[in-house]
Amino acid sequence: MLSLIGREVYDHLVYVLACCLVSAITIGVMILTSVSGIVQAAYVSSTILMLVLFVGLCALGAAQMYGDRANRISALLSTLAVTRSRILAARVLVGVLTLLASLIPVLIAALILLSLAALPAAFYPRMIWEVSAAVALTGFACYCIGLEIGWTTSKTWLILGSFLLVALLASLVFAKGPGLEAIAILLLFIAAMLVHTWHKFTSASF
Amino acid sequence: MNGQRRSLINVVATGVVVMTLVLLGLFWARCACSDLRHSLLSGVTGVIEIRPARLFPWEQPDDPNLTTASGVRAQMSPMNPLLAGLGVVHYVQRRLPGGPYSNVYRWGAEPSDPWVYYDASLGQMVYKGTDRIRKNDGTGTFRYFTYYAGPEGVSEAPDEKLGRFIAPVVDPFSLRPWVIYDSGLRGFFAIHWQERTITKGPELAAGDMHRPVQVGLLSKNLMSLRVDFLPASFKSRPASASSDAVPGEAESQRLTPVAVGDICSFVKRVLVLDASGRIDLLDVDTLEFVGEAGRLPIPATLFRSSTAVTPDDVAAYCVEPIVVSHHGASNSWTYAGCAAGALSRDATAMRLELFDPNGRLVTSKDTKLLRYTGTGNGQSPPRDTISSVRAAYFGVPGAPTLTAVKFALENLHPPVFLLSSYLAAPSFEATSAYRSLVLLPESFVAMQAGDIRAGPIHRFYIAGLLMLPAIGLVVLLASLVARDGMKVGLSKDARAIWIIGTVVFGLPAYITYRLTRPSIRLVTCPNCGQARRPDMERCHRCGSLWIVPELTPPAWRVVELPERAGNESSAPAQETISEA
Repeated sequence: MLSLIGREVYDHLVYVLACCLVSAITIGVMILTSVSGIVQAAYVSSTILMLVLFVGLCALGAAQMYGDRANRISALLSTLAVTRSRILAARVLVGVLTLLASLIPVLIAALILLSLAALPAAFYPRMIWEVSAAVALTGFACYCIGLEIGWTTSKTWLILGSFLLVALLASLVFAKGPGLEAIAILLLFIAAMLVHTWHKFTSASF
Repeated sequence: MNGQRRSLINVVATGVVVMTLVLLGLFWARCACSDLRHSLLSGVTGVIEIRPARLFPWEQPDDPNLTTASGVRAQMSPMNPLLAGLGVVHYVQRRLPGGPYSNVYRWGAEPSDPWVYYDASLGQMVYKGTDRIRKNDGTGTFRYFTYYAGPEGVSEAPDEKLGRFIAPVVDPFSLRPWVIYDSGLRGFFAIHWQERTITKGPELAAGDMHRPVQVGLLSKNLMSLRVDFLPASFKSRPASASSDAVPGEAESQRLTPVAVGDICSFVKRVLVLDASGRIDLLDVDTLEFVGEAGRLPIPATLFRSSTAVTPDDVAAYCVEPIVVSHHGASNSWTYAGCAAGALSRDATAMRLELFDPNGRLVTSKDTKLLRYTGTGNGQSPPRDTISSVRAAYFGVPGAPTLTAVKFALENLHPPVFLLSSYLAAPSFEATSAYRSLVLLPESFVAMQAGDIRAGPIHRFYIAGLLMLPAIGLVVLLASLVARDGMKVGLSKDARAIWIIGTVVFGLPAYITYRLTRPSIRLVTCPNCGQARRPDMERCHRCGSLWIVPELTPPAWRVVELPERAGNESSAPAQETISEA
């Protein structure tokens, strides 16, 4: 499994690093805007950068599946002592690790900045938990969309579908607010997406 | 895992994904529709003004000293007020410290800023602030303090003896004294932070119908609706002309009405909003109700004709109390009445009402539009007025198209959710419609459910008529599924399940079917000769198995007599069998 994960990371290193870079830029912008006292700009820029991160995660998922289908990687690996389910599990684990590596530093930075600039975090622990969970789940759902969309041969559908679906899904948090309802919907959506991807991936004959 | 179970899991997963995406798409389409409707109305129905207020007897129309009489104005936000109901805005308001639904009532980034919040773990109110202390040498210094208040008292440290508030409703505006209603303890409390005392009001009796939901500053979605008092203006009186002033002038100069949010420090009263929509006056000293101040206005809606609205029934409201100062007498203020404005659920109508000190309605005004009879050159005089609700849905150019689009979007919604919206609509808070994906409290069907002018059977009948396009659509989709299911080789049971699913969930179910329907190359059935699936045991058309009884030709033949005569010598064996 570890070698599968390592291979996935190595194959898609550009996407993984791009996500981490967006995360680093987000932290930098948050610090700069907080130091200069432009709180509203901090919120707006962080939101925009989070959207960029969601697109990056979707691109990672799409690249994994598109590359597999185009180069028949899983067909080759299936000839070895590994199943398609394990290949997919390793792939998803890489997505989860990238997501955590991108979001945890942002969360820590946000907590420190909030405690410096506003009320201590003890005043709104539920808000921190809910917003973090909603952002993380939205990011993972975008990654799942990438996995789903990537299993195609049409580049037009790959690009347009990714942007359309990521925009639609990210809007869920705006529509419902980052509360328990949005978290429940996202969890359901992610589970359904993973099951559908697993069905499609394991049913493939190439 | 067998193929059938795998397929079932795939169908359910696809259905969830499709349902989520379709509902999200429809949600944003409805939002865009609502935003466009608001943009059609903005500028023509954004403000209502009542002037003269007719609340002050000294403001007589024939008073030569009076330039402009006092009045009140309700103003809708130029931005779509419905955006305040959007999930993310609602969430921030509910959770962010200082928001209208937060437990942190006051706070600031500076150390000297006061912090007032409810500590749920202690069940006590906490007030952190600074006092200015004058030293003996005349210099001043600041002292930081933290007070804890419970129903039983106030102290500088948290103490169990102070008791616990259970579900406090506070007046975030005024701290001196700080009036709290606790729905768990069923009583009012007034905290005097400076004196470190608390006044406890009488417990509301078990049969008491009062259910206060807001104290002090009465408003909901303040960014969507504002009510302002417009003071009167008088001619300035030259000093030399004081001797020949006209009668009444002295009185008009003496009394000056002002609108203040914090009437508590002026007249020792606070406004209390009841869950029924009634506005009560509470005496701050005795913490008892001293009368009724008014009611929440009932804005016009497309279907509804309610006799009363609750705070949950309107998208926004704002109540502005008015007090009158008596010049010459120090600290002599009188409560003069209040102005209350409310915005309808769909933000298409506003109503402003003005109440006298006894809570009697003085005057009111609704949002209306002038209807012109000309051909659009703007020269012809207005014929009459039209309700802003009617205008928003049918009157303003472009409105009928938007109404048709809204109706079509609602009918694309899964019928089961549309029906549930009809049944559950009255229990929804007004702004929840703008963050609801599944149920549609603002749909025509749901709006019709609240029409109290019609009986329940009539309401259901009308709702059925409004749902006709949705019913027609699901019938069409179900027939498509049935026909296609037969073509691709679904079994009878599978077809029945898909048809039921399409009838219940509508468009998302149909899309799911199209995405997950089997795409197997069919083969000819050896029994019926039609196309059948090779992966199923029985033919979905004739129900026969793969092994069809062999068609062995009969050993006998029917032979006509002339033929028999001609062939008599060539087939003796067959003839023998035929005869047998």
